[in-house]
Amino acid sequence: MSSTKRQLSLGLSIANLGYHYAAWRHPGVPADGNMDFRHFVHCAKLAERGLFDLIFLADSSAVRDLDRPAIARDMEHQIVKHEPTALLAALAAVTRHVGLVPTASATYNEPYNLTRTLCTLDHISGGRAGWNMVTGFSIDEARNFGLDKLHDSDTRHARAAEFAAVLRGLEDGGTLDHAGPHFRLRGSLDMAPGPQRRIPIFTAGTSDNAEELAARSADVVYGGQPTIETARAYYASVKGRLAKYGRSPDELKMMPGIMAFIGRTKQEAQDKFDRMQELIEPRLGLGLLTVSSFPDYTGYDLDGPVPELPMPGGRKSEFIDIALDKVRRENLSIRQLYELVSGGFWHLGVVGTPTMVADVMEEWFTTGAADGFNIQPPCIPVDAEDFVELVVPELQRRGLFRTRYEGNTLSDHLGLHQTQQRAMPLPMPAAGA
Amino acid sequence: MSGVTSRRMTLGLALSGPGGVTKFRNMLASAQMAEGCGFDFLWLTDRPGLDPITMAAALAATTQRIGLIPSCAAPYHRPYNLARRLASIDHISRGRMGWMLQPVADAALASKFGNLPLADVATAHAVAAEFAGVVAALWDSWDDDAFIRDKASGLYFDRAKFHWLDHQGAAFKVRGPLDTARPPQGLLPLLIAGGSALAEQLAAGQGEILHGLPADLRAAQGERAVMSRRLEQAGRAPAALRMLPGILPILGRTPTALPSGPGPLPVLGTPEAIAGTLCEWFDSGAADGFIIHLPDTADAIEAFAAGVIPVLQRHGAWQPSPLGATLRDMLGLGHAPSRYAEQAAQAVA
Repeated sequence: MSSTKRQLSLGLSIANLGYHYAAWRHPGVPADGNMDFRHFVHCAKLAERGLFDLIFLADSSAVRDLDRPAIARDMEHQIVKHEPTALLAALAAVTRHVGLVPTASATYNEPYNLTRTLCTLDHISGGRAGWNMVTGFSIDEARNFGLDKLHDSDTRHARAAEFAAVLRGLEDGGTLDHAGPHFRLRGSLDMAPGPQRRIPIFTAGTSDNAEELAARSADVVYGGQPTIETARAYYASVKGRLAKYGRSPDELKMMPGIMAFIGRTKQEAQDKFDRMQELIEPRLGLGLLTVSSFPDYTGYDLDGPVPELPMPGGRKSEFIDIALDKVRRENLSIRQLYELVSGGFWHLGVVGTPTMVADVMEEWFTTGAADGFNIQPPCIPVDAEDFVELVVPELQRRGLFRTRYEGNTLSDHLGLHQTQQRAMPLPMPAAGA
Repeated sequence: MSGVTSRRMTLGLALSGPGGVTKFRNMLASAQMAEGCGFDFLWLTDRPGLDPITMAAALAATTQRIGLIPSCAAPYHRPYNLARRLASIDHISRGRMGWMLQPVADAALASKFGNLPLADVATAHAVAAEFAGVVAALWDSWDDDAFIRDKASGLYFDRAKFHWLDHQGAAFKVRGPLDTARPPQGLLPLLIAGGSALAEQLAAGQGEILHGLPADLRAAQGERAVMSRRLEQAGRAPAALRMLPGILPILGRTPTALPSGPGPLPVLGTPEAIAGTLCEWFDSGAADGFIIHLPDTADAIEAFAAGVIPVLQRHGAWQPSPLGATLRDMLGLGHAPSRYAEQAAQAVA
C-alpha cells in the first residue's frame, strides 16, 4: 500500500434482504430480491462504488426452524437464497475490484472440491476470492447431510483446521501428500495457482475452539460483539493466540459486524429505526424471542411487564444478558423486549447521523476493538446506499478509508499480501501445532 | 415452449484440448462463440483445471441464450450442496442450466478423495440414481407459488406450500427442504453419458439427455429401440429422454489416421456432407440432435458452425432458439411441473 496510515477494511454483508427481520417489508426493498440476480448485481456494484474491500455472503445449508410452529418463519425473509460460491462466481464476471467472500462449511464439503471451487473463483475474478470457513452449528443443516445430531465442537473444529491446512497445501499449485484424521489426499489441484496464490480465510466465533481455529488458520475474523468493552477483550484474546502459531498480530484482521440506521439528523435515523420496528408483527416478535433462547412469553399481555421465567438454555449470548438487564432496569414490556431483539443488534448497532456512525467506528478502530467492519445494512439495498453515500465520505474525510482502489486483489485490499507468504504447518493428530 | 409443432434438432457442444482449462477468459470466448453460432448448450466436461460448476455460474452471467451443462462426479458431491448450487445457477441464467452426473469419477480423482469410500461400478450407478432422485426431489421443495411476499400483511410464504423430503435411502439421508426457490425450469435436464447398460438404465430412469456413442446409423436406431423399451419399463414417455449421439466432425479431406476406440463418432467430409449425415440420422428418428465434439478454440467452433449449421437450417432440421428459451425448451421438454402439483392434480381427478 502506498499510504502509511493504517486504514479501515470494510465488508458489505449482502445475505438475504438485510439484517433487520422485517427488511423485506420496507418499500425500498425488492421482496423477491433474494433469488433475483439483478438485485445482487446492484449490491455488488454499490459495494464497488463505496470502495469496499469485499462483499460477504453468510450462509447455512438449511432452512432453519421450519419444524417449530412457534417460530414465525413464514413472516421472515431468510428462507430461500442463492448458494454463495455460485452467486459470487456470477458476480465476479460483472465486477472488477471488490473482494468476494462466500461462506462454505468445512463440515459438509470436501477440501479438494472446495479448494478447486475457490481457486476457480480466484481465477475468474482476477484474485478477489476469499472463504468464510464455518463448521455448522445448526441441527437443521446436519439433517440435510445424513446426521441425526451435530458432531461435537472439538471434532468440527479439528476437521476445519485440517481442511484449511489442506487448502493451503493445494492452492499454490503444489503437490500434496496428506494423511490426517479427516482427509487423505495425494496429488495437486491440476491448475495454475490463482492470482492471489493464498486465499484469505475468514471465520467467526467466540468459543475457545473457534478462537483457536481463527488464530491458527484465519486471516480475518468476523466479530459479533455489541459493546466496545467486549469487542476489545475479544480482539485481545484472538490476537493474543497468534504468537503460538508463529504469527504476528497484524496478520489477522478483526472485522466486527455493525448495523447502522443512518439519518441526516439523529431524529431522521430514529424515525427510520422506529418505522422498521413497527413492522415486526407480534407473532414474529414472540417467535424471535423463542428462537433466540428467551423464555416463551406466549399468553402473557404483550404490553405488560416481562415476567421472570426460567431460561430455556440453548444459544448463549452476551446480548441476551444485556437485553434482560435493560428489561429490568427500564421496566420494558414484552413488546418492547421483542422489538429490542428483533432490531437485530446482536452485533454493534448504531442509530444516528453519519458523524455519529463514523465516531463509533473510529473509536473501535483506534482503541483496539476493530481493524475494520462488516457492514450489515438493516435493509438492502437502501441502507447500503445510505452507508456508501453518507458514511464512506465521512470516513474518507478523516483519512480512515481509501479514496480509490490501490491494489487488485482481495489480499491487497485487506493489506495481507506482504505478511502472509509463509506456508502453514499441517495440524497432525499427535501434535498441538 | 408452446407453438412448437415440428421436431427441432438440438445441438450441444463438448470441448476438449490438451492441458485442461487454465484460463477462464478462453472458456468465456468459446462459450460466447458457441452461443453466437447457435449451439443450444455447452457441456462443460470435467477436464483438469478450473471447476466446471463454478465456470457455469460465471458463464450464466456473461451469456444470454446458451444452455450450460457442467459435469459433476457423483462420488465426490453431496446431493444437498449440488442441488442448491445448480438451482442457484438456474435462477441466475433464467433457466439455462443442466447437469451431467458421472456415476464413476475419473481414476485420477480418487487419490484426491482418499478418505471417501470407493464403490464398485454397479453400486456407483445405484448411488448415482439415488443421488439424481434426491436432487430432483429437493428442487420440488417449494411450490412455484409458495412465496406470497405480501408486504401489507407481513406473510412471506405459505406454510402449506413447502415439502419435507425425509429421504432415507441406501446411500443418502436428507431431510430438506432445499433453501433455494424452485428453479425456473422446475427440473434441470440431466445428461448421462452412455456406453454401458448401467448408464442406459440410469438415463432411462432419471435422464433427459443421453450422450450415446453409436458406431453407425443402424447402431443408433438399435439404441433408440432399446431406450424406448427401458423408458417404458421406467414408466416414462419415449420423448422424455433426448438421444444426442456424440459426433466428432472432421472437416475436409480424409486424414490419414482416424481416432479409434470408444468415443464420439468421427464424421468426415465437406460441411454439406457432414450436415447431410446429421440430417439423415435426425430424419430417421435415430437421434433428436447431436453433441458435437470440437477442440477448445473459438476458431474451431466457428469453422464448424459456419459450414454445417446453415445447411442444417436450410434443411429445416435446426433453427435458432428464441431469446428467453430455457434449456428444457431447447430440448423440446417444456416446464416441468412439481411432483406435488402432479400428485394433487391426480388426487382431484
